[in-house]
Amino acid sequence: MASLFVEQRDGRQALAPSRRARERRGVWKRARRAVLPVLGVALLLAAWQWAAAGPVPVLPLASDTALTFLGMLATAEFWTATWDTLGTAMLGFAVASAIGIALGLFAGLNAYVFRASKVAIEVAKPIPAIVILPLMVLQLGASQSMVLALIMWALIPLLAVTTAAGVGDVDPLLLETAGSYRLRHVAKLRSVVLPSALPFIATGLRIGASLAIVIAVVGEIVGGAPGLGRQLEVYRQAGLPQTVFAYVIALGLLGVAIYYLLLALERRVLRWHESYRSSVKTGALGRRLSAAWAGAADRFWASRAGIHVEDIGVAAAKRRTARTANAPRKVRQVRSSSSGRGLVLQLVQVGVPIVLLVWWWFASSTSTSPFYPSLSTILEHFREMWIFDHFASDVVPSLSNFIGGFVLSVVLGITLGLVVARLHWLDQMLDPLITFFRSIPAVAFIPLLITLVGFGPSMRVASIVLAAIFPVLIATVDGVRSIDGTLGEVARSYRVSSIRRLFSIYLPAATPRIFSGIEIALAISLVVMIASELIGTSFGIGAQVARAQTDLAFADMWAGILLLSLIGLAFSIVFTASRRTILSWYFGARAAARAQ
Amino acid sequence: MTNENLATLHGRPAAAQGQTAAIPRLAVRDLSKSYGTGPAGKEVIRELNFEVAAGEFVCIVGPSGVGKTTLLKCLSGLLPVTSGEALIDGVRICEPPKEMALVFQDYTRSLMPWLTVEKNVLLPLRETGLRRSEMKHRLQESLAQVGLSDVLHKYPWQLSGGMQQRVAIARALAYRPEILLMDEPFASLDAQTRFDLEDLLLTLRRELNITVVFVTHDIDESVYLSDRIVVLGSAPCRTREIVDVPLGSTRNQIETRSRAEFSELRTHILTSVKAGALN
Repeated sequence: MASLFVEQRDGRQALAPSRRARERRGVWKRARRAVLPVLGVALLLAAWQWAAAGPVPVLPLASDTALTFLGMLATAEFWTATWDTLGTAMLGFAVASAIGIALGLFAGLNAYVFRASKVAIEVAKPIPAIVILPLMVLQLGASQSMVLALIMWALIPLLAVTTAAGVGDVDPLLLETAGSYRLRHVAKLRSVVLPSALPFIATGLRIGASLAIVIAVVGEIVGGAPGLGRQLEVYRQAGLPQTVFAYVIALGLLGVAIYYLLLALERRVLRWHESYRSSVKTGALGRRLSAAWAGAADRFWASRAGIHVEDIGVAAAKRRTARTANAPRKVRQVRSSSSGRGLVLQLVQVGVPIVLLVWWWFASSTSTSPFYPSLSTILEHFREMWIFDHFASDVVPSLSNFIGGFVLSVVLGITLGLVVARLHWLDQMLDPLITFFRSIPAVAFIPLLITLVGFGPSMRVASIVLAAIFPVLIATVDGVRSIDGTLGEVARSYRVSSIRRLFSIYLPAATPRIFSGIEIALAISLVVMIASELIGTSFGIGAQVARAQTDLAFADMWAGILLLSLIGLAFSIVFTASRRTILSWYFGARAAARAQ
Repeated sequence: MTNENLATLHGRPAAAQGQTAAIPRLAVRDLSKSYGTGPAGKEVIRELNFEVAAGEFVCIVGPSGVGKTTLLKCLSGLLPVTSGEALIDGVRICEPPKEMALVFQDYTRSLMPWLTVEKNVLLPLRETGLRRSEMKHRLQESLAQVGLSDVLHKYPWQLSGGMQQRVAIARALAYRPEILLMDEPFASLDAQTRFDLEDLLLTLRRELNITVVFVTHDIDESVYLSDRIVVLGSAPCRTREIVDVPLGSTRNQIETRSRAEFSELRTHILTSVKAGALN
């Protein structure tokens, strides 16, 4: 028996590496880290140049595009457009932040306000700004104020929710300590509540700042407001693909710059916070940052959905879960179930939205304004249009593009993510490319793809995939990377094969993160679907809304907005339900960890 | 090629041919382990030597942070050694050997939270080519051995800490290891649960006749459980001394722990560990 083992293992026997060999490997490792990212970019450019010169003639040459890009940097037109985009985004961001944070503090400190706004925010959450864009264009024209209104729509709830979540996250022990030293309301707010809520607020601000740019670009591409996005559309219509590519590249680089700037700012302001004190153990620099990004995004989406997902950084998350995550929420629950106050709160939560709806119905019933038809008229048009006339011709194609693009980006994102997470060299090679591509505002892919493949369904699906694949990919890589090393060691010590390890250890362990990525992908897919239809096509829900807008058929436009909102809401509900089912082990394990 | 490499190339077959009869079940020969290379590297283990005979229960004790876990990972083939070797039946360990199972300290992190108890135990068996009925049999047998026959369809996080560690032990037992490596398996349990699991382990080991290598920082536990204790000295970790524990094969938490030999051994090892920590 023993001799058999000798023979078996002899073949596999590895020599202990000598010191020199190990040093050589260290040098090689460092060289690889420096060379691979450059190689990745170079390979992409080479492939682009080759494809444009040969099999894909619609693609402009990489070299031509580079020259156009450099030439563009020398034009005043480019810098004016950049300033328009940035200025509008910053203004909208500043105003929305002030309002949102104030509202959030108010809602976080007052249980009645919290409950009264809860349903409205839950309903508004899956409705992207682009849904109300036709309405805003009609009211305000293709102007800066139209873009500002869109930014308000998206950012105020975001900042209100993150701020309220931050206030809810304040350690009750700290509040009691402050109380024991007889600190009054304002002092308590300033010295305990605000600093404790700051990490949440900072996350909201950082996501909000990036979002403001993205929405500004949407307003420019789809709504025609001045800025980089409009330039993109203008050059697309003029048939100058090199310039379109150059503008998309500029948008991507701008996104990367803003992302790093905000991250650095946040780190500086919050260096005292535990999730920033601990260093996240990951690979390349970009990856480390994107891990933080994914963590922050998780936290934001989770707080919106009313659940808690991993915090920034794995180590920090482990330390924090038990203490901070749900203590104040528990207090709130106990308080609300203990007395008649709980019943009142329930009534407020359900009653306020009903009162608002009833008020809309009656207030609008006598409306003579062409912009704001009565709710009953809107519902009538809704029934006529979507359930009868345009169901097969518009609703079905829209939904199939949306679902097709979304499913494709989830499947490709997870598959690629698993491969990238397991192959370090590929990760290092793709790192700058991933950082760049995911910084391009989602909607900017649409004009780009129109120049390449025209207006068909393939353009729409491809735009969705290009925009929605990155959140899934990054979440998958982070999920696999953040897996507890012990689980991998357990599997290895029991000689579980690497294929089975991938599918029964790494993939399930990554699912909580992957779902956060999928949630973002779902929101992006809807936005890109609508945008791709609003930009000059003849069929689809978005195209019908655009037609109603130009025909001044306001009730039809409202009906379209209602349908798009309902689609957003329905998919969000399905998503939340499936997450609850698939991740029941995760929520159970977390609840158990918290109870200890 | 360096001398080290030559030694590993030629040393092992000679030993295997020469003294077949005296080959220990498990042997550690001049084992060294460093993390990183050059001046930034950290030497964790330096030229460690000890042996474990078949059926023996050996405890490894030492000051905390001395590299006990690293040693166990080298023994189980999870970490490559820097020089020297770990041998199982005279054969060098390069990857996790199939006659070995490892039980980790942190049960909350070593059981898959998305798998039920049943699936956790079955996971290592899925690739052994066993028939379904045999897998089922082993599952039930091993859970019965640790006294957990009724939690098959529960998730690990629905169980208490002691029960979770029992599941981890059941998973190891179902794998039918000849050698069981345990890395402070009872460190994060309360005292009563720990006593129960210690006795369970002694019973299982007697019934199944497995070889156990048990890492702990608890000196009382090491004396209570083992036939022999390897005391490690502080970083970089080296063998300080090896102590026999002649307390007989049947032990009892109250009686054994109150024997004079027990406290003598305990004092001796405690002194040795403390002195080791100072060096």
